[in-house]
Amino acid sequence: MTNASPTLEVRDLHVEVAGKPILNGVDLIVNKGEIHALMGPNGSGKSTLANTLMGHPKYTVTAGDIRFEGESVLEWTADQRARAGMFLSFQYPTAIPGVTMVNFLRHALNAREGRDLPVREFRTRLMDTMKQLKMDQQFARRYVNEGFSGGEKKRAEILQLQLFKPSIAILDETDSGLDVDALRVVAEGVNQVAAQEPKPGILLITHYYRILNLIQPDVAHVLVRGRIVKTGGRELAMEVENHGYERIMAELGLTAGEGDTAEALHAAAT
Amino acid sequence: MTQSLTARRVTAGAFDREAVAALSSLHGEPGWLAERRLAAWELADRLPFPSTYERAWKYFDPARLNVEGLRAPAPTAPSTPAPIDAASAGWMHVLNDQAVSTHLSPVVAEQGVVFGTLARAAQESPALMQRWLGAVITPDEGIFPALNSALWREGVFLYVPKDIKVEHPLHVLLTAEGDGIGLLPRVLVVLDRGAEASLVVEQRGGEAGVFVASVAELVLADEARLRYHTIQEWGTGVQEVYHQRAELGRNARVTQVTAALGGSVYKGWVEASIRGAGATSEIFGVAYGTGRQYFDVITTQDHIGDHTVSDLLVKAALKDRAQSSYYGLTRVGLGARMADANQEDRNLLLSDRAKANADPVLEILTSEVARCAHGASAGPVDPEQLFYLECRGLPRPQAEQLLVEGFLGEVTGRITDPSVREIVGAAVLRKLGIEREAGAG
Repeated sequence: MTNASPTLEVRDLHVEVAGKPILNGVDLIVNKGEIHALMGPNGSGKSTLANTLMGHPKYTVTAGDIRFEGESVLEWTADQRARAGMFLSFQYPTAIPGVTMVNFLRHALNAREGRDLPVREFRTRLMDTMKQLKMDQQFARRYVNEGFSGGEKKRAEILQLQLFKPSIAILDETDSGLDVDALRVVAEGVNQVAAQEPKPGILLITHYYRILNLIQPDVAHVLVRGRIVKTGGRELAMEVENHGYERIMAELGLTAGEGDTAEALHAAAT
Repeated sequence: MTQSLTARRVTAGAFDREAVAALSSLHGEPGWLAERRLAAWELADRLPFPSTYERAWKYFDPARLNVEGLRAPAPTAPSTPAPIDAASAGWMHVLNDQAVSTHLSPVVAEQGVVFGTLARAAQESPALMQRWLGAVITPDEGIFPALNSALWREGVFLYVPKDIKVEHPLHVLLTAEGDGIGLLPRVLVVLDRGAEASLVVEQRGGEAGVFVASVAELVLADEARLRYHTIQEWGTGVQEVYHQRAELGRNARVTQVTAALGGSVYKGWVEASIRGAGATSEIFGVAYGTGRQYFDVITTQDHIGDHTVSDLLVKAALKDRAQSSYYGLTRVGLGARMADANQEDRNLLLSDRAKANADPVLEILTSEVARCAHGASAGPVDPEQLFYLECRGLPRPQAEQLLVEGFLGEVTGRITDPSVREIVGAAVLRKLGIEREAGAG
């Protein structure tokens, strides 16, 4: 709970899905105000890590720990983690027909802040944030993620990121499926959140380098077969961009095996 | 089939033959009406009590209905009319089948709109009454319509003349007080050619032992438009069997909305005879069952005329040991060329012991349909939707509540009158235990 504790600390995390091990000892520390990029080929366990951090019931932690501001959250439910200040921006946000964005956001924001926001205050905050993200006001009347285009979905996730002001933001492939303009708006939104005091920690999970031109990471990690195999500065992300994952793996004496074919390794970087 | 051997009578005690005659003389009814009541009573006395052998009662044993030893409600005194709501064209409060106050906006009354009791309409609009009362739902359809036809007390009558459009909804509040009473509410709506109206019937009060057998007949002449809403919030233990049917003229359009929230047994028929060419029928239903509530609806989208259209969406969310049954028939008759029909029944099961029966049925006699779709489903809350909401800080019960609200909100969202949408939405939220802040929608 002290300021000295990292915002997010993952220690030797082992995770299984339906009895199959996916993460095999992940170690990661994200401090307040830091932006970390986590890259890795398809099937390396990126989304598993994101979902496990938030407590998705499908993922079973078999060993290791997840600490948020110094406290283990393994026993916490997803909503407890969210209210404490953990946030996951989904790769594929779920559609919830019948529930309007405005109704959903009001409930969620009240839960996050632990109070019933006055209607006027809520509306002002919502409308201001939507304006910043260049979202049409009508958007609030639509059902949550229902019939949203890829860009709209991601924008809606960033809208929530901005409203909830989390201490740690885990962005799971927030850049995927976006055209250049949408990518720019989303990146701008993330950068605004990153600059807000108190500064959050950000874990940016990505497949592509291009978002890293717009959001500058302090630290980059490469995840292969459920383990972080290399950590470095921004130049590591650049290396992945230029040479794919194969070179890193070769460097580490890892050989491509089942699940990480050469195509997958290349595709991931291009 | 042993049930059918059990003699069960609804025509004993307070609902015997003498009661019919007494009612007719009390209201000074014209001869034709007194005769019809007696004929209906003979049917009620003679028709067999239903059993689970009948398809319509497959999922609910009618032996569980409290129809014996019912009392007729005591006379009630008229009360001062409540001030009329600005957004309402008229307002009527019926307590235990007796109108205690009636109000119609003078502007609307001047246009020739009639809104009051059937008892009064029998005196003042005899031609309309004689033509339409009992014409859409006939007493021989079953023991409950027969009983209602024989012994309805004051009833509700709405008539809108040719080309008159009543801008704001009309409201009827049906309340029940006491236990062990039998109520027989009856509604007749007649919209003349090109007329338009919206009617909201709210049902509240009553306790265990109250049995309701209601009838609603909706007549739409050519080009007429009616939106008819029922919000059933009876008190715990109230049982109701209802029959509701709309008869559509050419290019007429009816929307029948039912919100099933209260009572212990709520079983009925919501039907549309889509007779006129180009006519449209919409049937929308929401139900939220808790405890051991049982909701059962049989729908008929009967395409009789050419190029007729029908749409249906019925949704039930069921908690605890609540149950719902849906039997939906889309019929496309030989004269119904290019019918466009859709029916969709969805059930959300919120507990392992909740249960939903769903039977969508098509009966198509032509080979020329524009569309004839049907679907039904029943299942638990989507775990991914739940996780998404939990990831936004909502504890599971609250997340589940929001999902139910959304699930049912898809239906209430189709209500076109904003004030009615709000009333129905608020009733659903009340049942969910949510009080919505004003303007937070």
